[in-house]
Amino acid sequence: MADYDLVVLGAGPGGYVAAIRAAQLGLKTAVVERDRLGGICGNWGCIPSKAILSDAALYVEVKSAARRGIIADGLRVDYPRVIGRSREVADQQAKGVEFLFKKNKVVYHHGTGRIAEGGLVVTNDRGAPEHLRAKNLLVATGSRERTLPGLEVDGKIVLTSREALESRELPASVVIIGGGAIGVEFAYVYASFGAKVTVVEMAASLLPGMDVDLGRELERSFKKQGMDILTGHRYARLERRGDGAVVTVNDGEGREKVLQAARVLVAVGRVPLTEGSGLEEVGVQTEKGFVVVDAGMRTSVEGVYAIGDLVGPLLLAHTASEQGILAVETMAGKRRGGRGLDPTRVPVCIYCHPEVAAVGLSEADARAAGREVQVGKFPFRALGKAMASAHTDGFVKLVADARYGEILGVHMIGVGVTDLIAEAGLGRTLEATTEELAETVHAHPTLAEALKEAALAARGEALNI
Amino acid sequence: MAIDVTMPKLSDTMEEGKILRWVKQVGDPVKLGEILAEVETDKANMELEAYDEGTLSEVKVEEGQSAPVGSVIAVLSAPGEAAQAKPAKKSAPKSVPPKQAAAAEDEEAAAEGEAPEGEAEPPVEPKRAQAKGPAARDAAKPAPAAKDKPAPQEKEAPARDDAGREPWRPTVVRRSAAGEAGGERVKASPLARRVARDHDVDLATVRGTGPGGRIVEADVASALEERGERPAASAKRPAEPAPQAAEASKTASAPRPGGRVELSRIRRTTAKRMGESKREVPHFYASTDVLMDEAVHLKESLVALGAEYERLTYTHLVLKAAGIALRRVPELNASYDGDAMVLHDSVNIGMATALEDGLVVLVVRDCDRASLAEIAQRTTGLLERARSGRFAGDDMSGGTFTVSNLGMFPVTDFAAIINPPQAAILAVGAIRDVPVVRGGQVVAGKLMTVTLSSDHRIIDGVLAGRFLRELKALLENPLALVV
Repeated sequence: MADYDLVVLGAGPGGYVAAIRAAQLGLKTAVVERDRLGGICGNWGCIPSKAILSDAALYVEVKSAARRGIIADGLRVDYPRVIGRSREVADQQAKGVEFLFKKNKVVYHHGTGRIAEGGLVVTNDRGAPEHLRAKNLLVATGSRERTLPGLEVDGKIVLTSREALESRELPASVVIIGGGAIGVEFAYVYASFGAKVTVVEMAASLLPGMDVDLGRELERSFKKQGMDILTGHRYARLERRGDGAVVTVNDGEGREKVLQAARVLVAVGRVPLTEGSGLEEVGVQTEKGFVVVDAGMRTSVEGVYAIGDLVGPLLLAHTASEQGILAVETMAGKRRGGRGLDPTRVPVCIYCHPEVAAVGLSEADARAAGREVQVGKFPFRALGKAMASAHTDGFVKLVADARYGEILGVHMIGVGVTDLIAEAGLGRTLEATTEELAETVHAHPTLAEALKEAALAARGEALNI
Repeated sequence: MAIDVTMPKLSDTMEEGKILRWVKQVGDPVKLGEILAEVETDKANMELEAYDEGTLSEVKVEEGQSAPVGSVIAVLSAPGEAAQAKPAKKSAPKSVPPKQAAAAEDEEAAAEGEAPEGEAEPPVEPKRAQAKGPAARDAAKPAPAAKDKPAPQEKEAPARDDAGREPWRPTVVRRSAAGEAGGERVKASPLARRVARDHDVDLATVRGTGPGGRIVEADVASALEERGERPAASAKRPAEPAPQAAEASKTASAPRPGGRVELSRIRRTTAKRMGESKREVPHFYASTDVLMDEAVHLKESLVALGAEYERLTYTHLVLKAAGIALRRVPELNASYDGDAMVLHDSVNIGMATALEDGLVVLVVRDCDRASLAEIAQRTTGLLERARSGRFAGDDMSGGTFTVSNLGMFPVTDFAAIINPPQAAILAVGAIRDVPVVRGGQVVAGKLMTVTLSSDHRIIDGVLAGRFLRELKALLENPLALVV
């Protein structure tokens, strides 16, 4: 007899959502988590970083408000308090998850789980290992920060996002290795609070993997904000020197640059945490470090499901949550023959300022896929609401299929775009075309008008530009 | 017991339908789902499928004649009917209105199916492709009900009893997709609707796999794949040049009396070339009658075999026969080049094809060597690409001869205009039932008249005669086309 219909390993945004959904569907469910409920997202990722980012934006807004007639004298930053508040927010998140588990009668086991015959063995420091017998296992152990050779993280000078989120010290200068989502968010935080920031990115523009126009626009904006952006540069070596470090970077043609900074933040991506949970030992197939799953999130071992950063390709909290629901509904027989989670329907949001948000195919990817495309672009500076609120940076770019007007991708940069992208996501889900977007009445004045205008522009019918 | 077959209402605006051709003849046994007749409506030509089984005992509307919706067009006598004293049962053939969805909503569809002038011709394929929508296959499954219980049925025309009263019957009418007011709403995404409309897919026949059974693009794509087509714009599909695609959809519009319709690019080219050809090329014409009984038999047997022959049409038989005949009379597989006659190595036959916005000639390669199945397959591929506006590089080039078939219309014979620099073109009329003399007896036969237009600068009457002799022999002994 199994103790549980389902045991979930990992209580991040994938695991905890899956557990709640399983309980709703009547599955007797337990969750095993070795750290805090909420996972990286709730504790050392999305949520605390958004607290800090919104503080940075608030500070910049007030500091620069004099041109708008709002004058704040003696404005100061209490950075330890900024970090402190972000920890409070994280704690609230963890408590919230605990409450939801209780409400839904999900059993929570604290400890390290390891897949074993018939279920999962949980070990913790409170007693003997416990064997949870389960009909199904859902592995949602997530990922860890990636590092590079010679960039050993010491938590003092060389940090990853995890240490940076807890450090109460505001460095005077930072070199950030990696111009992806995490790198640019920290760049914005540190630069906003007054640090000298240099971002080193290997690719030709910031935000590799996204539509290149976004990275280019962000680079322009960051430079305006006083940051040094070194695209097309790779990390070569690091030398710790006193209270800081000297980082040498290479432009790929043998030319080197030497950067000095008090801190070095390594933000070169994340790697799935497949080791330690017994996944490989029971024969779960992996490919390039990621667990291989089918459209219902089933691994190569019967009864074992995997979701989230373990699976990829988009290492995002909301991907993990959706995959968790998909996995649980598959095991409960609620979904048959589904198509899985379509990555081109998953929005990607970055919360520096200007914000960046996208869903679907970039223009280059759409063309590479053989699509004939129409592109509509609309700058926020042509929008009344953007002018009124003094945030005119950025644009909305819409990539549509030339034949049917299918919305293939929407790429936005500017204030508030992480909320505006939801409309584009709905459009993708409903398989809307530029016609429906253009026909949707958008309130005036709003920033959301930019999406409608971009749809009109793709049709060659833009009104306000 | 007799079962009346009535003219069904195939589109919302249809008031009467014209019988183009009775596929079944009096005395023929009729099975569920079999094609009874081809009917022309205000929107398109369609195939009427049998909705009951029996023997066709009487035809009340002759070919070429029209009948109002609801009127009895034929009578089936039911096989082995038990002695039940019931009044004659009414049966409206279940049918497939292929273009209804598109035509009802979209003007651009109106141009399709019209006979273009001169040698312009919509070949058999487009019509058949249309008429053989997914619903046609549905018919192969045993159609439910209709025998004794008046179960809700799709597309069942209101029936009247003999006294002319109209008894109420629960009739569920499934409206076709593209958003007609009223009726049952088909849930489909905007993109799915657009792709379906573009490919003449009746959404009412598509199974939706989206939330709540909603039809999404992938479902339409699956329906198309089942048909052997691929949606034009699919991420899976590598890029192909699509020169006309965008333009085509913009330029096509329904001709209205008193209006001025801008010519599409295709139409302009046709206008120019046909004018040049008729002015410069000294045409002469030679016709022959071909007895098609054997060919009809062969074609129907092969189609019944299904698989690679499922989509076989008379055009394919003609292409194959012309291919072999051209190999035997190579002078006709030639071009006039000022002071030389260029004899071509390959036999690549152009197939005049009506698209929404004009006439194109799709080239079927190696018609002499390719098997019938290969010809059918190539033709289907060409048409699919042509209709989606995504021609491959040589779909329209390299033709050495042209065939134009107006056989789906009541056209007995016509003379086509040569497509320069080719030396000749073959115009194909409808297969029709005529009395023929066989062994001194007048018997029923199936006759098809073909007319060869030749460029007299390089072709003499003798060559035309030899070609027609070969062609006639091949089509009258059509096993030669298969072996």
